[in-house]
Amino acid sequence: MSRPANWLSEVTSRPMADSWAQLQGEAVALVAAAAEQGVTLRVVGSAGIRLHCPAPGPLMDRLGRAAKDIDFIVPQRHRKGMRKLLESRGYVVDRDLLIAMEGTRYSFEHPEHGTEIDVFVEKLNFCHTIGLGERLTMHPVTIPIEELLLQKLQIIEMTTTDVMDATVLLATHETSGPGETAPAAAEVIDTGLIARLLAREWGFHHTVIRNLERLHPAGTAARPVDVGQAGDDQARRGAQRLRDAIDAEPKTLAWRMRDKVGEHKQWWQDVDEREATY
Amino acid sequence: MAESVTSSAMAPGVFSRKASGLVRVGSTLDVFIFNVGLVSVGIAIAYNQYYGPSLYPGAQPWLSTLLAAAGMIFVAAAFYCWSVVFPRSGGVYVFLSRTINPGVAFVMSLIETIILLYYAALAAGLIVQVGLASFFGAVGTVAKNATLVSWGTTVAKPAGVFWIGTLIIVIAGALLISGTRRYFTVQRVLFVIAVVGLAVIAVVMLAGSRNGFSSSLTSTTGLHYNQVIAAAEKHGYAPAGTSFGTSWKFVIWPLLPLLGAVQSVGIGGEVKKVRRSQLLGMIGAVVATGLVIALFAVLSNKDFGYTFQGAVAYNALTGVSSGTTATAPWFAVLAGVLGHNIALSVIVLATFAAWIWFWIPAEMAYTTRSMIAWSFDRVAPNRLGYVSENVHTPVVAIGVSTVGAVVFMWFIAFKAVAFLTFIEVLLVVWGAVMVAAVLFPITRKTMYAASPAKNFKLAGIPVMPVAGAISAVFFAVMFVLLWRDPIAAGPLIHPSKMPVEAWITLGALVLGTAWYIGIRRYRRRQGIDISLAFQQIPIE
Repeated sequence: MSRPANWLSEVTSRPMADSWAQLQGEAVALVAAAAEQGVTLRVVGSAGIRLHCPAPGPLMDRLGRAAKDIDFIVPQRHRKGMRKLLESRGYVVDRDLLIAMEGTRYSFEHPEHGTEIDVFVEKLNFCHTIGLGERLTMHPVTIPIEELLLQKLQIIEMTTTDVMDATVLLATHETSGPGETAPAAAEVIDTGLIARLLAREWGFHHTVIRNLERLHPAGTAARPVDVGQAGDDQARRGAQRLRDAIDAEPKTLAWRMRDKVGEHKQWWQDVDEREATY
Repeated sequence: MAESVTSSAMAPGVFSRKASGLVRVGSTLDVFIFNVGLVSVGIAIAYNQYYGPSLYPGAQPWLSTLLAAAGMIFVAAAFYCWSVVFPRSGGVYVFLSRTINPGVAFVMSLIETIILLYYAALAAGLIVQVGLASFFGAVGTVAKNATLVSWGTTVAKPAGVFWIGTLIIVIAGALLISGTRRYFTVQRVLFVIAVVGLAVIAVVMLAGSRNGFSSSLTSTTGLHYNQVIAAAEKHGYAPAGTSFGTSWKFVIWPLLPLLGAVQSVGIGGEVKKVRRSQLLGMIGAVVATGLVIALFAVLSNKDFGYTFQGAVAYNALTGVSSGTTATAPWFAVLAGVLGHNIALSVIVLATFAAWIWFWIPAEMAYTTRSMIAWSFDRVAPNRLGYVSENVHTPVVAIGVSTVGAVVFMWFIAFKAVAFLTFIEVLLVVWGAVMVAAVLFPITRKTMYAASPAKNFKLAGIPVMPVAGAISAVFFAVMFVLLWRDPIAAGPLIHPSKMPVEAWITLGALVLGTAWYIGIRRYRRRQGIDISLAFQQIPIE
């Protein structure tokens, strides 16, 4: 999935809130510094949505979607390099999380400017697990658009900000229709890719369908997030196309077996608030 | 975490998470297995059936087990309240340091750590004595293989217990170093093996009979059922009918393993949905293991006979070799004889070894968490909480735990440190936590009011202080029973000859106090006020 050459300058040159300007600068600098040292680092979460392409930022600013911290993902083999890099730039690792998560998650804070960084390793492990594998390096700064969207749609109890982020992504991107492959040169959400992933996991599928329903309740014109008429139309159309693609995808045997059990069995893994372990 | 989003108007300061959530390692099942493993059904059955009928004639282990389990329900309720007030790893140290006094908490936690490492070593020793030696003894006896029988006696000697026990402890340490996820996975697999094995033994015992056991005993060991009893009686064994009083005196034996049912308090910060997990994990473990242990006592009486169990163990304990099996007649050996089948003997002994194993990494994991909590609060060196960049686990704390357990392995193998004497000390430490549960709503009113424990009521009675009060009384009674029972423990402090355990406890008390005073001054010189760590408000 290639980007226009002026993509990064377009993102970084637009006006934005001070806090976000600082975070964005830091995020981009860290990704670049990591690359120089042979470490693959990519931005995820809402910062990733803002940095992925120019369109979402202004809409998120208009919605008052403040940036709080930077979330990264790193391949397992680059953990040591990532930690070394961040500590060399003055970040202090959260020892509590270091012990509690045993190398599957890191958290850092800069004692001077207070920037908080969360680093996930290899995969995004929340209510459902999103593995990145080779796709981790498809975008120069963030993870691919599909995973950014899935990161929001996998949440079992979406908060207001999750709904905002998912809606903004759908409102600012085209989606490929069922059976279509996303054009290589355009930033189009590949619904087929998401559908194929969800056809393997009933639980993940169920959560995403529930959340799509939540973004645009069937039979109503209610707008959970005010992204303007054009944005709302696009988001609604995108959600529907995604839903159609998911429905059309043939499901695996494991998916069909799990479907028979339905909601009688918990279909997501519990995510706790981040409290200290010790 | 949840909030419905139906309005199109987004107010400033929209609802969001403070930070990305965490998928913690331990599930409800992991907590349950952790606690059930720490009860160790294998150790409980072995102790009950070996020491009950032989040294406490008239005591019915099933009754004693149910009495101990009844008391432990209240202990579990009180610890459960603590675990939701402070959903942290670090065990009693966290509770006491935030509510009573950090210095007292550190010293108590240090003593608890030493005791639990002793029990980790004890379990490693039991795997050799009750598991491996019985394995060779039973299989050798059933297969009529003298070499295996001689191995059984060889490994049970001090050097065998020490070296094999040390190897087992090192393996447990290596498992913890490989990560908590892997540890929980291994425990899940072993739990399935242990439960299936126990179910097989239960079926064999349900189908078995006294006559079948008697004839199998003669054909495999050459012993005659009635002659074993006669030999014991000749050497002073006095069989007695069921006695509630003696069963009550014996309650301290099943209490030892049942104390493990609440030890998930030590890993509270690592479990998902702490309220549900700890409730089912603790109360569930007390109830489930209490019933299973009692069931096996009933089955043992049915197949082996109460008097025979007493007699054969009595003969072993008093050196009447003509009236007992070649290797000590632990439950596993008798069950192997009943099965009269090599494959079944292997299943029986593998099951018991698996059950005993659970104790070792779990006790070490608990002590490791305590050490890390000290380190984080700066009452211990930062190095204790060091996490390896290669394996991503706290290797220093795990290493200290491993070395500590090996030291105790030496004491157990070569110095025969008493069985239950340390429990007296543990009861004092945990008793303090129970008293703290009573005082918590009074001395830390604001903290209690903000905690979930405030809402835990049964018929309008607040659970935390009441369960704490009943548990404190229960522990006090158990302490007196232990103190007055020279078979199990006896007085910890003996003016004429202080036991090793007393010196160890006294040493930990003095050194722990001195350390805490010293480190507080040292940290102050560094400009660190360690008391700030103890001002923490529990989550709402």
